[in-house]
Amino acid sequence: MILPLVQDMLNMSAQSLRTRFPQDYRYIKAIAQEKWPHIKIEEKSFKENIKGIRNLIGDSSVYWLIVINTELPEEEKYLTLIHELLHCTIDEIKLLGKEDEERLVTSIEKEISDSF
Amino acid sequence: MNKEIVGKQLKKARTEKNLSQEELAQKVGISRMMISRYEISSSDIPLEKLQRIAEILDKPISFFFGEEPKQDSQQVWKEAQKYLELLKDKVGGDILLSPKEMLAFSLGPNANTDQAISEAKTMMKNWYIANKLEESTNKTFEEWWENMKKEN
Repeated sequence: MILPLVQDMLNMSAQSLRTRFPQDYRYIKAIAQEKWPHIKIEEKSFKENIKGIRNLIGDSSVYWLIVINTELPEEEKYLTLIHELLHCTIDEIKLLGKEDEERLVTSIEKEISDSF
Repeated sequence: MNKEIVGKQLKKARTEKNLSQEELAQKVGISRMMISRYEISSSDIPLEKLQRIAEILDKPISFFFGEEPKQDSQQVWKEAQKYLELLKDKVGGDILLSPKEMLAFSLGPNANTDQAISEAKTMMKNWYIANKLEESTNKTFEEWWENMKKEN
């Protein structure tokens, strides 16, 4: 279960992803693939009204596949990618053991306090 | 895109690599003028060009937006070895010692080995904390120390 406080911190991280880097799908895709090589980002044309999908492929290396609908306008693709990346982060925390979760929360807290 | 940060970081990475604007331009396949325009923030760098520049200058793309890469554990260990070398200098001579022996030796011939290691460990711990290495290694000093002992 994700505590509301952790959720807020994650939202701040997502916010910083939006403010620090260009608000452009192609840049965020390139940066995300570089920063998190265990998250694979692909594009596919969906006929249904789907913006993007996210799948957990492997459970040992926590390998995610994000598929973005190519039919979306660029701005929507960008927002969908940010949204899916944020969900990957939340889901990864859910997969963590108690000790690792503590460590992660501590490091996020520190990152936030350092930014003030 | 914050062109100012990108330009500043580009210049920083290029000078770190000891490349002139002309040399970088040739490697990227653009004019020197374009590199200059990117550096003085008068032009946006298209993603494809930025990817090529990042590859040539050995930097992640995020670096050009102001994100400095954190040290990895390999770099941390190299730093630690440099520190150990400094300790070795106290002894003098080109003695080949394991890090453990080096630490013990550095504290003097009369020191009890276990005590010397313990004292050296305290020094290393202070160094580790002073350099905020917990953040880059994601390990407490104890975890990092145990890991390094196993690897050596």
